[in-house]
Amino acid sequence: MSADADRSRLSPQDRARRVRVTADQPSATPEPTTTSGIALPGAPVHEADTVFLNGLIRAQLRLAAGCLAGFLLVSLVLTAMILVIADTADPALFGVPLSWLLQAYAYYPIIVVFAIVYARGASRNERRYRTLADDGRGATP
Amino acid sequence: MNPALDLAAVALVVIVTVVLGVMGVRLSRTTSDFFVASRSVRSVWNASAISGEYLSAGTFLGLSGLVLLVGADGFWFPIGYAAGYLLLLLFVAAPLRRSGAYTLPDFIEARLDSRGVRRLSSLLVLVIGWLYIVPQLHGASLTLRVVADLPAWVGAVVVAAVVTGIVAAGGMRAITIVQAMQYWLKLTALLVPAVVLLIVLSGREPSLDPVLAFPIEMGPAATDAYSTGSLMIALLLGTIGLPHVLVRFYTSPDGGSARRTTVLVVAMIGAFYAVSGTLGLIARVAAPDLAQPGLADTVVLALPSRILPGPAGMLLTALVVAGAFAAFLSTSSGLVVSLAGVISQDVFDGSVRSFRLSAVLCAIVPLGVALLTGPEALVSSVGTVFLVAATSLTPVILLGVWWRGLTARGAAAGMLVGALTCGLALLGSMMLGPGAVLLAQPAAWAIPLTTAVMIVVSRLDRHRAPTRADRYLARLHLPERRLTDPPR
Repeated sequence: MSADADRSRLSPQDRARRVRVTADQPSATPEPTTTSGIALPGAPVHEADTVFLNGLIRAQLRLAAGCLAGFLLVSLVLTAMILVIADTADPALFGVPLSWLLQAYAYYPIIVVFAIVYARGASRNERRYRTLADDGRGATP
Repeated sequence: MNPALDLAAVALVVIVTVVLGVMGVRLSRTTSDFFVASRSVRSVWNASAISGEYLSAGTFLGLSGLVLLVGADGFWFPIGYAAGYLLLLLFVAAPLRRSGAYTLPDFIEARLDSRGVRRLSSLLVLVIGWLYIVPQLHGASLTLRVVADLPAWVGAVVVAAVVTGIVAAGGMRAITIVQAMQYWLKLTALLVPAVVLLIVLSGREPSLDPVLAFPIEMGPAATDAYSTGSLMIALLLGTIGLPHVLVRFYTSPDGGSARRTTVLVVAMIGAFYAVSGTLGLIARVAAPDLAQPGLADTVVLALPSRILPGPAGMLLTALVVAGAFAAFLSTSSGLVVSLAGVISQDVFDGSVRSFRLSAVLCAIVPLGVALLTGPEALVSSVGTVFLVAATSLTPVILLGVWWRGLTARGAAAGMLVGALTCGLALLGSMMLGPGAVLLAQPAAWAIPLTTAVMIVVSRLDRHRAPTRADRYLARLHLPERRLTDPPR
């Protein structure tokens, strides 16, 4: 189909010239017929797929590392806040110093928030990969 | 406390556990059912089961005891356990579900293409699992001794026998049902007493001045930066290396649902720790005399009848005892399931029969250890397990999932260095006393050391990198076709 399209763009002289059509030359290093490892079942990995896959792995690792850094940063700020409160005013709520209450309860919501942020982000990365991989294959079923 | 009522509560938990386990047996048909419940357990159900399994004696009894004993520093343990689940979610939950392996050694063998590394990792899994079952049995002994004055061996034997029976009879499907139920029982068993005691205490004049109950030298400001930081590194990374935690991810239908399940788990265990911490705060006001090593772990059992003398306090105590037994049973059964999976596949032929035999073996060894040793502080013995897992197994899992350059030799060298360093450090700290902080909390230097050994040896050995590493990594990270996203 693309060869026909190319030919229609050629000048009449070019079109008249005979073209020898041959099979591709065998490459210098022949493809191995057997692999040394045991291949997992499934289709062979295409080049475009490999690029998209490496992109996906990097994106997931970046997201995970980002969430971890964010979590550690927020936790450190909270810890610093608790230390400052413990060293200064430390008002008592229900008979318990505020610094103790923060230490007992304040970290869990932070952990949950970062868990939700990551899970949503990871699903988004996978959706993006699927869209790219489907487009790369020309959306064949 | 009323011994008859408390023992009835224990009996009820054991009976319900056995009945649910037997109901599960009817569903267990194939080898796959036995090992991972056929990977079709729904997210909420599975999240309850994971949380039920994760919340052990260490947190049910130990957390409030530790807050009573050492003050605000005790809160770092549950924070670390919960944040450990966050790291598990970030780095390994979905990839491990997609790995297609039943057990941790299965994953390591498939990834590194080496039987030798598999055997080494099986050995570590076994040691970590046994170390973790021992405090559960100690918790059971302690509980029955305190509430019913029974000899120490009774609790340990009861828990070991029930767990072996259920696991051998029903495998993982039975365990999933039992553990999901036990999460909710554990949460109720601490939440109801916490709420009732708070209501009762709020109507009274405080018996203890807040300055005495919450002294500054035991507060958040008194924390030692190095030892807390190192402990947090061990707890955060240790969760990834625990054998019974990983096996649970294989029961989710796909990678995306493994992630959703983990988010739910983080919320569920966070809720439990918040309630458990509340009881620790109540203990500091209401039972300061129990703040002694060995006694502090019993404070949750003692609190209800102290604050509420009479039948109400007795009933609450019985509820707490039931929850505590749920904790011992659920964590040990999860551990026995995952260890039996490893032994039956590594030592025997991987059949259902060998799984049953392995389950018996997996409970007998820790029972022997538990009977020969006395109950130590529950939280810190659980903390040691996390430390061993974090230094030996976690680096190999993290690098295996994310770095294609890891080789079998690199992994083996790292695991050996990690396990030996950790063992020697703990031995050294026992001999030198608590002053040797670097040895008592070695995670901050031992985990980077293990990881560095793995990377350096793998780089030197790079021509032996598994030929199918790329394919295997593709399998770990590729989303399943059209199955991952929840309906919107």
